[in-house]
Amino acid sequence: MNSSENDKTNICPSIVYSSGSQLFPLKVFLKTARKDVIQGLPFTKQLLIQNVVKRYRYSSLGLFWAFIPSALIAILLTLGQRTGIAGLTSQNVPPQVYGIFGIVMMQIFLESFNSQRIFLTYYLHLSVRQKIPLEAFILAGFGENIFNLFMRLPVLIAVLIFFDITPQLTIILMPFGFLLLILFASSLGLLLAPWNALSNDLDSIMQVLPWFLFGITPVFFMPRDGTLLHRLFVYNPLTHIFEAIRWLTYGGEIDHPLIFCLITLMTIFLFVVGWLYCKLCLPYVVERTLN
Amino acid sequence: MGDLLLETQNLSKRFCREPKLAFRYTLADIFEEFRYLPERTKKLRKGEFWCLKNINFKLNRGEALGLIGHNGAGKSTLINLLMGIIRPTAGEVRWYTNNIVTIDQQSGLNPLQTGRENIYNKLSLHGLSTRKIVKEIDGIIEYSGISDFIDTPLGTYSMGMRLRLVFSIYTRLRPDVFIIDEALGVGDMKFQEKFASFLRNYLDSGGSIILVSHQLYQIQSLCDRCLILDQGQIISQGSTEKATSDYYELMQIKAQTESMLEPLFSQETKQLLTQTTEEYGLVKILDLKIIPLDTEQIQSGGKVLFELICDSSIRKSSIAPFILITLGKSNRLAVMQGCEEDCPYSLEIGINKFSCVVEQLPLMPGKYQIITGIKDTTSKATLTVKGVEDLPFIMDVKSYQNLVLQLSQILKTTLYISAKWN
Repeated sequence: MNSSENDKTNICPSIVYSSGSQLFPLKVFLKTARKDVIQGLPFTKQLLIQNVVKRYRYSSLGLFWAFIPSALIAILLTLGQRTGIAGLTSQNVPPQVYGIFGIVMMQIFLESFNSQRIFLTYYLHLSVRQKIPLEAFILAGFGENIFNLFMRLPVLIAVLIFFDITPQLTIILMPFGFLLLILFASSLGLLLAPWNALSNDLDSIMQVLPWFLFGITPVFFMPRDGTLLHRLFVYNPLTHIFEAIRWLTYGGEIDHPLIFCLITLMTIFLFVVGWLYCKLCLPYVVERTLN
Repeated sequence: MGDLLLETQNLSKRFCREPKLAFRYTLADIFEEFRYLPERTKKLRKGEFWCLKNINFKLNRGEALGLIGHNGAGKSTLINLLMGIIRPTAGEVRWYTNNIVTIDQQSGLNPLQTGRENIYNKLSLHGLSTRKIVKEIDGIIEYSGISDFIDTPLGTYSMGMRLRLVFSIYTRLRPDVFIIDEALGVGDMKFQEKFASFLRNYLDSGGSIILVSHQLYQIQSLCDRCLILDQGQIISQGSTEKATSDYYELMQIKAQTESMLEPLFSQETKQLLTQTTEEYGLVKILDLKIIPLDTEQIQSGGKVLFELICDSSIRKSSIAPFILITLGKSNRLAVMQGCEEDCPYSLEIGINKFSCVVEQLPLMPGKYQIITGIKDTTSKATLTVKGVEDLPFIMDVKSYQNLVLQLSQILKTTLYISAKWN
């Protein structure tokens, strides 16, 4: 090697792919992650717009789907109230309002959770031959979930007007409650995304999980204090987020504000961890697809 | 030579063939990412093999590097490692630029999205802002010539239309390095020529290319330098002329090795060659010497001496030694037989030597199997034969720098005739 070549190799390379751990040095890893977010923003924007457009391009009923589940649930809960099912009648708002809020929150939770859980599997074909910042897919998914939320907010407002509920002033903070819900669901989804892409086990679990969640989350009612079911509900972080959103909207009681604050901090932490974990796993997930 | 843009150092990658083990190893590798371990030599685990081993090369600005290798040689894995899509097991890839674009047959296009959406995606992925894309998009659509279909999903496009779209997108990008993975091979001749001419202009303006292709004429027309990959290793690196010649030789040897594993002769041919009397076996072939006379090694078009040495326990007048050159199972190329009538050979007790000279060996470079034998010209019976039921002799014809020979290699001819033109 001559001296001029030596000089050239002494220049600091712009990109290095080595066999060492991607995580260390941590500073470099975080710097790359930040750079990828910024670089991926134009693509994120395109992806988000296209995904939303695509959804309505291939769906003939469009926005109708945002309203129909809520309307059906309202009918069912009205029937339940007339039959006098205990629990449905013990809330400070009509059970239809409680239930529709519950079902909308659960829908948003499951949608956000699933969209991040499957994103690696869904976009893998694009990542096999092209270096695409993973963050673009995560953020586009996150954006789409927020879009879904805004599509459903009119339903909730319509319900409040229909049942003549006076909202609290805190209702302006309600979208932030939903945002936390989306963030929490996305974090869980991101933590499971690599597993989902590597094996089919999660698909089988997902057949049961929503039903199980319905059983331990205050979707339609909150169990009475002191019961075992109530204790299970309290252990479930979703309970606290659900109750906080309801409290922000139409008041009532919030039992564990401290736990809610802790969950908020944990959610933000989990989201960052989930994102970096997916970033770390991506090359291995792609490698498995190639084999 | 321009600035250094890329270098790899001892780049290696291991893969596992068994799905169950591979899944376990993937989990172990992910776990390893969380451990702060000093760089250490990673070994093969059970069921693994080296898909790439110790790959070292450099790419400079303004240079076109060809990557040649048969299917499974490790070309695509190397590209994936270069792009950081998968992680190396050992070694390092160092880029001295951020501006790299990969083009392959899929080209990362999304079939569910429209042509227009795909243009937005591709360009935004390469850092173009929406404002710039809006400015460029009409030109791109016009250049692609598929403006009538630009708002229909890409899934409905024919392969030719997709290529035209991809091409018009990529021609707008001005990266420092284009990595082209077999993308030129698809599309009609007109498209290929258009793409090649674009790449030539790009090279002239100081761009660099890594070109992966099975079609060697494309590599020859664009690249200055080539790497040949075989079983995950670089077996030749140098000028395109030398590398392509080495590649042909490698391919021929591979084809021949495969055919050598098959039985050489059918039952009928075997009977014909070993039609014997009770004297069969009394003569034993000891050796066949193949000596180049006017060159250092046996090569196409060279003068070659064949010397057959045998040990006989009988005396026999009028015999004919023969040499049969074969290339695998089905290709019996030529037979050379000692004169039968006008100058008959005779066999003495003890060591006998028979020789002949081929003035210009008409064989292409490669490994040939040689069956030798001695026939009794009176009874037409075979006295001995070597290479039918035991191992044949092997003749290794080497390649060398010669334009006609290289053309013959590209055209995959069977024979090489060294003709003198007036």
